[in-house]
Amino acid sequence: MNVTTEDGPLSGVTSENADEHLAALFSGPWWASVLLVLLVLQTPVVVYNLLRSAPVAYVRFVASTGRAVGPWTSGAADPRLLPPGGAQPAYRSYWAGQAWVDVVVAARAGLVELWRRAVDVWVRDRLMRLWSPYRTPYQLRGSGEVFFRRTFVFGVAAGALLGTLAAAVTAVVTLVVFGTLAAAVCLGLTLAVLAVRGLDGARLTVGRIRMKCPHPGCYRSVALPVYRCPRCRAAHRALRPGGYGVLRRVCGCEQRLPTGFLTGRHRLDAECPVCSLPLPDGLGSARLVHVPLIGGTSAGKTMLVQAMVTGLFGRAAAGELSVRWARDEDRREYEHGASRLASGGVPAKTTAVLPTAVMLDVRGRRRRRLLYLYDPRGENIESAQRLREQEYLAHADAVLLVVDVLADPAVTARLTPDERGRAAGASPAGESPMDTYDRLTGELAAMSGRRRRTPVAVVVTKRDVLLDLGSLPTLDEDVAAWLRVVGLENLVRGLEHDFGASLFTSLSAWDAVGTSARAGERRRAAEPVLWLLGRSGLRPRKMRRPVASGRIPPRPTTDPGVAESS
Amino acid sequence: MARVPTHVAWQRRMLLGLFGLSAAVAVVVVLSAAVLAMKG
Repeated sequence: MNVTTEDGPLSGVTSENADEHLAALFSGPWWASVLLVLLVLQTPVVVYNLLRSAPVAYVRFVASTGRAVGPWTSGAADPRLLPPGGAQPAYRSYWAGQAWVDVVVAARAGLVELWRRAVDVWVRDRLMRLWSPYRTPYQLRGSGEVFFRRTFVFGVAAGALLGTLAAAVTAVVTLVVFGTLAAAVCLGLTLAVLAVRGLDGARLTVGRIRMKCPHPGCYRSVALPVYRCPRCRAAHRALRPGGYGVLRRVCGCEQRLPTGFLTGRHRLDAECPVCSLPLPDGLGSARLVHVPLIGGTSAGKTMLVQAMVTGLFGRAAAGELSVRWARDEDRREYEHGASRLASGGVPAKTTAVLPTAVMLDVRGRRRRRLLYLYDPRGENIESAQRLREQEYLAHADAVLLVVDVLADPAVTARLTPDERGRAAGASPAGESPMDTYDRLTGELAAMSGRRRRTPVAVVVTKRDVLLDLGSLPTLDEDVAAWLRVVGLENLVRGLEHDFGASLFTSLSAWDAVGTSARAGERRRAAEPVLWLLGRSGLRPRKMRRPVASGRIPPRPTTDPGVAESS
Repeated sequence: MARVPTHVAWQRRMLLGLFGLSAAVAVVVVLSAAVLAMKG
């Protein structure tokens, strides 16, 4: 018989040739032939043990690695946990540290299990038992049985070795994929950190939100306030997206804290990083508008602040605005002043060497502003040296000039002796408004460098007294013209020339907040501060748009005593 | 001894999920490679 295969590995090999090859294989010594037969018989043993050991070893690897990732039950004891702390009193982000500790520990546990299974289970247990001549410690096997068992020990060992190798290769691939996925998560979180920080930065830039400390002696720009944990009061000096978390971080007391505006960081208690004094609620969530009140001693600044705040809350009650206190201390001081006024007294004279801003959160039609009203004592304005110490002037977005014309010699010269007596009873300011203005304008230019873009609201105070002085022209709605007539033309001209826009108005703060307060005067008290807020883009819900263009077109108004020029 | 905080427990479950995914991917990769090697 001569059969020839047509293709394949046996192509050209006939059955006659195959017989010859087989005969050649068994042509050696007898033991070689026996060995050959045994080797052929080992093949299924090898394959069986490979298929048996590989999946079992891999499953054991997966189970051991998975177990070592844990414990994943909160409250379970775990010696490998990284403690909170370091630069911040918080847990580092899991993916920035602890995850890699867990990955390494789990991978090591899995590989150790693979090795232990190869050595302990296969070599020390199964192969040794297969090789051993003892059935039990006191009972020998028969020599035939021993020979038979030892014949297959090599196949079993080879199968187990190959199976373990296959499992090890799969395990290594698993760990490579695992490490790659974990690194991808870390990379994704890093990109998220950059994105969230960028968004927050863009929000501050677009909204022109610059955080400033309102406290005397500081008044510094605050890049990032110190935030307090609401549970343990720990100070977080860098509460922003980073290595401690992207949108939130976990304080050492396990309280979750927001790391950005999007997640509500501005609702936490904040402190100035320089002076450690508390910052107002909502700082960083809205644009700040710094408005210093400038006027001589006894010009009526504190009464004006009281009247303006009352006016703002009155307008809020009418639905034109939303107003709330940014600090409880300011609310308490306001209420104290209001109770003094209600009992016929006047607010206490300002004594602080440097003022703490009165802070109000004002929301208009669409926008919000955090209003800082600085009420310095008059003595601070009455010398150039002291004026220079008013560092908050460098941040002034607007100026509120408090004009007490009764302190001006040109005005008092027009009064009769009787009227002078009444004017003196109204506690005129310590110096002429012109002198105050001259000092202010020079220092403001030096400190802020942007006087030409700064709006100024001029409030002529003590209107009730002025209306009672017959020697003076009637103080009507065109306050700028009235000032010119009474001898303060230089003041009006200087204001119109030196500032970007100006509003002239008059007010009797006593009529706004005193014992016989009138609703109209109270409403009008908010006019200057609303106009200044309007210059920063805040529009009340029912207020007409103020004139936005040019320099000094008068703004028509229905309120008597109010005129605007820009 | 330190106790596992809740946030770590949750993140570890996520890590375990990642490991499960890795194991599945690795098995598919190794078996595919073996099949390709046998065919080749």
